[in-house]
Amino acid sequence: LTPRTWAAPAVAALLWLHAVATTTTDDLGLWGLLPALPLTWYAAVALLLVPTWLMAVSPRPPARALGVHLAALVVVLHGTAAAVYEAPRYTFTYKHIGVTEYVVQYGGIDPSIDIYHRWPGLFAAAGWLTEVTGGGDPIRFVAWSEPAFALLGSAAVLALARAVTADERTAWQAAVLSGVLNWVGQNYFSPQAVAFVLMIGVGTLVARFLTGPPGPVGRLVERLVRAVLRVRLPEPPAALPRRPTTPAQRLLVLVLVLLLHFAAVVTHQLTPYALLVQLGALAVLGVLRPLWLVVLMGGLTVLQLVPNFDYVNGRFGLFSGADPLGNATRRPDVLGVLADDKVLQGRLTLLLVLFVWLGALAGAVRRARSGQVRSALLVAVPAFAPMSILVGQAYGGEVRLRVFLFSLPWCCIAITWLWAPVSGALRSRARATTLALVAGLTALFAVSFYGADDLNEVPPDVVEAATRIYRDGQTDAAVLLVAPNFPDRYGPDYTRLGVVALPSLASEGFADRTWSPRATEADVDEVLDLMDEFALDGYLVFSSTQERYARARSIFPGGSMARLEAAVAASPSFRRVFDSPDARVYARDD
Amino acid sequence: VREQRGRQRPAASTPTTPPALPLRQRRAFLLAGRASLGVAVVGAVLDLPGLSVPGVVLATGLLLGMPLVAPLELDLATTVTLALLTGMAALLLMCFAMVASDLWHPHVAAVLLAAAGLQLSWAWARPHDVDP
Repeated sequence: LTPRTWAAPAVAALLWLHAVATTTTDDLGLWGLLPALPLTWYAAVALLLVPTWLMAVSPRPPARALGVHLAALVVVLHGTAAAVYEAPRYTFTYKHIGVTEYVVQYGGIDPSIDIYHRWPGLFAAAGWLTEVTGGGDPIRFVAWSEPAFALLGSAAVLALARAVTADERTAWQAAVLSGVLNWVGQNYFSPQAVAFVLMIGVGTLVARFLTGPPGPVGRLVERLVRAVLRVRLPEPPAALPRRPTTPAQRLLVLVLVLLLHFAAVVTHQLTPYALLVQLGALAVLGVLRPLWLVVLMGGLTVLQLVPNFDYVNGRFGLFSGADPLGNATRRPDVLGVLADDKVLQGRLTLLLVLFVWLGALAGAVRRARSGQVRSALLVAVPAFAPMSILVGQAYGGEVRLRVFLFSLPWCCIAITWLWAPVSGALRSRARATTLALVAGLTALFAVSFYGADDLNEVPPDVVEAATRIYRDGQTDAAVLLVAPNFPDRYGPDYTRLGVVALPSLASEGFADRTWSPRATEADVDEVLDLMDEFALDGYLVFSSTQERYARARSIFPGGSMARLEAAVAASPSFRRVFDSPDARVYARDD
Repeated sequence: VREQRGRQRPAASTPTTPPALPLRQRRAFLLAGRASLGVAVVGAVLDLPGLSVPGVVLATGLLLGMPLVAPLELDLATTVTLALLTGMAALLLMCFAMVASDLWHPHVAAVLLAAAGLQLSWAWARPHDVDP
């Protein structure tokens, strides 16, 4: 336990604790959490990032010191929201908590309710965890899912990289990159977060134990790559000589692969298919053996789909059009026009995404040109195979985010080949250049990960309002939001309410109206007419989360949301049933 | 070529199944797993999810996952990572089986899981006949 191992993480930990203790999140602007974080937070990141990276590019990366530094860096980068906010961020986290609470309350699932009850792995496990750790509210621990899954993800990428290369520098650099490039925000309490780390685990086992020299198709592809890239150098001896395995070990690997895959299958709808695409591509090349393993994994995946086929096909559609570009660019129902600051944030995020994919491609090409076509293909194929999902699915406008995530672990490895020396160590200037690059990427990560937190933060008052609605609300009543961005399906009894997916005035054409300073009863009647379309009893919800959504998308211009609320509050047709600075709930009273 | 292949074949290909980790490390992991289980129980009694939840996750990985993954003879970091993932997968599947079969008995399952983990890890951490 030398000072080299602990000094920087210890000082950074103190700086970080100071930062989270002094951050106030009462009035987040269009750049989210970033302006609210004090300088000590940025100092903590710098104090960890610089030595972590310099150790990772050093000729002999010190494993113990790097492990401590990387863990601290990941906690600071991915755990700040959990430490700063009083309630878990993202309004959509709460529906996952709601399903978990349902499992705890009723001791089971009801597949007729929604799709979460049909892929209940995470919710059942979280319900079990809630029960055996005291039976409290799962909301008490779900916020820490983000740093926990990020830590596990970085450790898994380290394992994956060690499975495809004997170079410790590549392995550690890939692990660091996985911490600073995963901006997608899928590590929150969600099925995809669990399935994602399981997916990397399967990739590790497969790459380590079940890959070998390519078959006829793979050899053909290798020849093509050599011809296109004009690779003259011969394939060097395997960089990572595979240790022979005993039959018992091989059997164990197969069992573990199936175990991890099946756990992902019962947890998430999309991840197992992405994994199948990756492994299927390796199997076609003849790199992965035995082929029947992929067939069996596919069988398990289909086995889970069959009883749910009609439901999924009827509600969402198995395929949403064979237009890759259309699927990639389709967005969830977007209202209004994004504020300029948000557009800039989106462009910075796009820069990060382009760096990852183009960097990985260039890294794989450089690797191949050095003669190591085989290892370049072993990484590049699973990195880019998930893009094939774009051919058939838009996944509610989120598919590009998911494809990025699925490809990220492998891309992190390929990116390091951009600067990996053919022999010897990196020169000091090259180390400084890569450090500057990684610092820039970390800045882009911070923008992408925390820049939208004006929309992601959920104040406790808003959580309390959702709790009251779903717990005490009139059975079969409709809940109408003024604008999106409010926790829905929250609490064990979320099915009591009539409409599961909450509609909003904004999505029903009210967003562009400038409500007069003295909104009239006729204006309110329009709102009531709309509510009638959903149910006779109902609630209208105003919250700070919706106000921020409206501000970011320039809807309800000129304070018209506040004027509408004033009219609703003054109307005899409504009665305020919940009142707090961050949320107000009005019940119909006619 | 056949001659070359014959020469390249390593002598270690003789099937042997030595324990994956030295006895000292296996015992350390057994102790860490038991300590995690203890932390989980204390956290549950004191209603401190910050202790109990990581305690359960770590205990499952160390007591159940380690004995399963260690025979693969991987490096320590990879072994621990895969052990945690294996423990997590086992938990997911156990809980999925409970809700899918309408047999929701979380505390019974917890006791059985802990017993299985303790037994498995105890057997794994015993001195073996062949210990490098």
